[in-house]
Amino acid sequence: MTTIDQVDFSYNGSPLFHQLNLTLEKGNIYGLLGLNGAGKTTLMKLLTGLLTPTGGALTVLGEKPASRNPSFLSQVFVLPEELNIPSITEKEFLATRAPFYPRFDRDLFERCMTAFDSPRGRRLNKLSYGQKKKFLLSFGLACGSELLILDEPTNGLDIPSKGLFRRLVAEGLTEDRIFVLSTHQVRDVESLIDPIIILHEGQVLYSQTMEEISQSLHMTRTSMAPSPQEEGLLYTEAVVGGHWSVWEGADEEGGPVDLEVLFNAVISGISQSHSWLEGKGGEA
Amino acid sequence: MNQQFALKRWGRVLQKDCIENWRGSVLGYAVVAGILVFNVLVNRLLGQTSSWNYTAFFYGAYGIWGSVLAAMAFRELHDKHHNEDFLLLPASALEKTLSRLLIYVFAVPVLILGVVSLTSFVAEGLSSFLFQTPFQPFNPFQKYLWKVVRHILILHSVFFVGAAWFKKRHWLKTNLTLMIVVFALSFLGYVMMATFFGSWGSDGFTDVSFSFDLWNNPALERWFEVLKNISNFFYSLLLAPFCWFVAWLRVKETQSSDGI
Repeated sequence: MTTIDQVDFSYNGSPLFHQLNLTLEKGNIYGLLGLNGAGKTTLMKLLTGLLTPTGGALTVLGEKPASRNPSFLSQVFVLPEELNIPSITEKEFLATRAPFYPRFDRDLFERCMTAFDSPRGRRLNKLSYGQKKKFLLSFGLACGSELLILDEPTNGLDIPSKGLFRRLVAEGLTEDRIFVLSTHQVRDVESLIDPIIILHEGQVLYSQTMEEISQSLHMTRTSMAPSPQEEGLLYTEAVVGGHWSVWEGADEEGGPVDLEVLFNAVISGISQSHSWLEGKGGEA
Repeated sequence: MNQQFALKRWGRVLQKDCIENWRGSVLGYAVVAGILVFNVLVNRLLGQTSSWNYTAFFYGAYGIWGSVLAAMAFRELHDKHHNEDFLLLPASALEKTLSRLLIYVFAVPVLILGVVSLTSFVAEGLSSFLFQTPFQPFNPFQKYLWKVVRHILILHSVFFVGAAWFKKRHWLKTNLTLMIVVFALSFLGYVMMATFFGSWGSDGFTDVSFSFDLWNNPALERWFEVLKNISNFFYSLLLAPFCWFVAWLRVKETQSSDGI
């Protein structure tokens, strides 16, 4: 269990998080969404101990991340958006990193590398961005860490690799692991992430499981825009060839949930102080 | 396993640092060896028949290049685009600091000694073959050599703390800091000498006879002896460990507060 309890954090006196609350439970792939500057990267750095909260209590996998104990760090793996790999070969990387992760699964690494069709035997810093990402994704999945944080994991991946990525991440999730995916490319991961956490201006604006979402909202796609006066209409946006609308009430037909539309609806809802967002933040 | 220090985990950090740096190191040492062979052969070509001063070359290579290496020990620590790998490595700040200390401060003189010794054999062999000069390779077991190594090692410990302390341009800033410290201490000494032993004037000391009086005063002589021993103790035994300790504290602090 990972709990963020009334956490405050500021950058040079300018507050970003104030009384932030969030609970992450094992066995889930959390999707962390938000506008630029919403605090996604800061939250990930707080979770890994790269930053220290200025107030509140933060417990990750039963430890305080800021203490930076090696036992904690060996249970955490972060795939950053900006990849900096030393000038070493894959073999050297594995020889120098894998021993730090007690649950590292060499077979899983090989399976992932084969599935991604990653080039072997070359120096890692000479690989393309996408190839580096596939390598680090394979390592991250294989290292068996209880907390796996992926920042923009699908950036730089080619189209077949995105599908592979979804499959491998879904296969890699076990009951004792937490995956956190921060992304702006929601369509790449919408079949994967559950629950959804939307950060906005340093607050958890929306934190719901897909089941909770479908119990409280439903979406429709129509060629014509609905009348703004229609009952239950929360949000509508024009898309190519029609309109997406978000409605209050359970989704009885099991229709699609477009996360991009949901995200826009939530951000639009907060700017217009909509009541349907009340109580949807906080603990997931 | 101990969270601060575990031999096994430290060994892994050391292995990682060695593997990540061996290519650059080999290149660097090859450059040192190349410069040495080139210098020896050019000297012989210009008609110099006396033995090449390998000891001076060793001091130069170790003193200058070694200080650059020591100042690079934590080059990724403050780089916000590159430090995540260092900061998230599952090892303690102590283990990471000790690994870098061993590689960048203690291993460097041994490696440079080895490279200069081996290269001197090659250079002398070539010189003997080409110019029929006597075979006089470098002797790494000279006693005086190791005394100088001790002093340079202390100096490199200062560059090591500079590597952890400064966020950019570690070598330059450490040099500037050393210069400021030397100037400040010199000025302090000057002021103290002028205050206690001479009269202050526009030319500095106007009464220079203090130096003769000092050594005729047994009490002062003893006091200066004690002062010298304390300074020597601080310099020889405490300065380097103090630098390593400060470097460790700085890494520890950066790990938890500056990993942005």
